[in-house]
Amino acid sequence: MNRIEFMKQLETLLNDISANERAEAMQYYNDYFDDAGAENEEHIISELGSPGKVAATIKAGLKGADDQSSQYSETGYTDTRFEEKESPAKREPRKEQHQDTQRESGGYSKGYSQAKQESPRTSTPLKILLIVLIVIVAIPTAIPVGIGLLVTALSLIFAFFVLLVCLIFISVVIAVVGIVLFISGFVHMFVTFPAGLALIGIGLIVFAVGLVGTVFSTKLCIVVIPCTFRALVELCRRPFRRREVSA
Amino acid sequence: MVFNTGAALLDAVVLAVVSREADGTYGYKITQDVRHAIDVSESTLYPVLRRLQKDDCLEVYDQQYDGRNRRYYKLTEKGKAQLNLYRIEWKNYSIKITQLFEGGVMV
Repeated sequence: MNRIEFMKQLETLLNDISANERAEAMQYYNDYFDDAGAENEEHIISELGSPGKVAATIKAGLKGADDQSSQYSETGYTDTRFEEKESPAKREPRKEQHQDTQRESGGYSKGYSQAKQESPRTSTPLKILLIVLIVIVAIPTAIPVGIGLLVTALSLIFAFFVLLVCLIFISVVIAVVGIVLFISGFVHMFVTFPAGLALIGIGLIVFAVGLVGTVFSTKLCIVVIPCTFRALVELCRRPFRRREVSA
Repeated sequence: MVFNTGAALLDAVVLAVVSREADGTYGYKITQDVRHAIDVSESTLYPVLRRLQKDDCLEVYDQQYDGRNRRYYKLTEKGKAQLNLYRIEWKNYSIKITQLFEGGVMV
């Protein structure tokens, strides 16, 4: 991802905050990239992480500042990181009394330096444990069900293609039968003239039907098979694309 | 770093960094300067700067630089007062901790 893509995604992700705040944040990060210089662009992007992370940080910062009585009902890493720092109850005393040393509770720092510091003992490990448990419980069912669905989908697609190919075969066979009838009509002409003539006629009609069928079904395959493939590829790609934007 | 950096300390460090430049300084430089002292990620400081700005501790202005507008941050009077308060609090706090660590007689 380059800088332009990064900023574009960030702007999209900031769609739900006020235009003023969005412009502020965009200006800050545009300045940031400009001042860092093109040679540091890659490094900064990798250190910022994803646009989603930056957007979450910005929004978490806004929550406390904009709306003093805001609630933190959502769950997610941004809130666990910023909850305490931005919570109105804790912000107020700073403004009025400036008793800062007393506010130095451990939770404040979580957002500031990443990874190295541990979060309070209660929440994060518990969450991880829960996630692990859920995964352990889900795996035995999720994998077979997933495989089943995949196999079903694949066999349906395969059956569809076989059906199309069969249509071509049937049409070709009809055309061949027409030719055979036509030829046997000639042979029969020497035995019983009217019957032979009728056979030739029927043979011609069947041949024509077969020919039309062949052309039609071949065309159908040419049109339908690439379309299906395209649709499939699109379908497979979609979840990744969405994740990319929302990440 | 093994020690946590609290929100108040980060505020204080940012205010101190900005106060060193009489004409104000800009986001990238603030981040780099703060990083000389404490380990913060590149995305940490924007919310802090924005909040300090809303609390009237910082004011911003745009100035032409290199053919573009660059945003500068500058301390307000309130910001200066806040920084002084932080300095006093930090001195008291750090003296006590140092005394404790070095096993001197508690004064």
